[in-house]
Amino acid sequence: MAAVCVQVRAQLEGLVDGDLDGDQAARARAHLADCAACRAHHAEASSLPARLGALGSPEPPAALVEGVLRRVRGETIGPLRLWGPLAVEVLLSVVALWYVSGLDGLSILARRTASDVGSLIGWGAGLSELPAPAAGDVFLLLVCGLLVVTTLYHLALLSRQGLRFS
Amino acid sequence: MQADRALSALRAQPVDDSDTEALARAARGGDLEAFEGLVRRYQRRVYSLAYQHLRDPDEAQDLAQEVFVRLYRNLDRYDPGRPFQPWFWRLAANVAATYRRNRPAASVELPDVAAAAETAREVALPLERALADLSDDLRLPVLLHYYLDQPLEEIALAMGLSLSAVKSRLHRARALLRRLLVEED
Repeated sequence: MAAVCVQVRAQLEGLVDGDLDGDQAARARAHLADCAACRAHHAEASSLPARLGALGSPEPPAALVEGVLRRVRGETIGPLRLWGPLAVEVLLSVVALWYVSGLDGLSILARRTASDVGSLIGWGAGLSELPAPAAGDVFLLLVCGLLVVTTLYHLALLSRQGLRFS
Repeated sequence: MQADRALSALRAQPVDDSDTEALARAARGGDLEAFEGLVRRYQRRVYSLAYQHLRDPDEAQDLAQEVFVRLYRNLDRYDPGRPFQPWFWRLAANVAATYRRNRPAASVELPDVAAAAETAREVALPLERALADLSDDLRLPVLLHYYLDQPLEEIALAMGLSLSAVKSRLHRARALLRRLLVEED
């Protein structure tokens, strides 16, 4: 193949799109007038965008929409599942508050917590035996732990679904 | 009530781009019926893109389904103040571009899948055959621009390329297609 054919064929898409400058376009057209092989390439290059736009495809299968909806419904969180944990959170909070109020307020709870922590530090430093926490402290810890777990689970649900309702 | 009636009328329409934003806004607000309306409106074009990209009806259905599921998951990122279509096609192009990469390698090697693809290739028209011979990187911008009329700027955004890189890929793809078609003649 002649060097001029290689050069012109490399410019055909630019020629079709009008990207070549005047001189380049004129030289390419002059060559096309004399070269049947390059004219065949030019004909393909010219018709290609329209032919690509007219490509046919089979109809989408009827199961497509149903398949999408089935998957999406599986990801949708119902209102009961979304807001149910709120009832558990309220219940646990009420229990914790009731328990704390039964201890004559937060100051007593704070003093007992400080005492527990001090005993634990002493045990860690090897200065005393492992203290046995009061049964009430364990109960409160358990309630707070449950509240934290429930809240984290609830926040995860809300973050999955929450923005959808914003 | 009136808005509900308008939405119902939109959902019942055949594929039509007008008022798509209303459906998109409702779907973004959690309206599953509006989302279904969007899927019905776009299913033909999304499936066509997937089919021309993969040349396999089953895989095209799988890819089209993935596009819509990803649409659902990302609806909260759609800005209702902006046109829906460019945003949607950007998402679809992203899913299509990563679909082959994310497929398990084993499924590519299965002999019956390879045989089915070869059969599909044999019965395809010359242009479709030539298109199937392009690499994914070249085929996808061609389909998005010439088949789905997406602006070059949107394709550049969707594929994470510069505008000049998209133009260069389109020129290269068309030159390759042209050579394949002329040789076939």
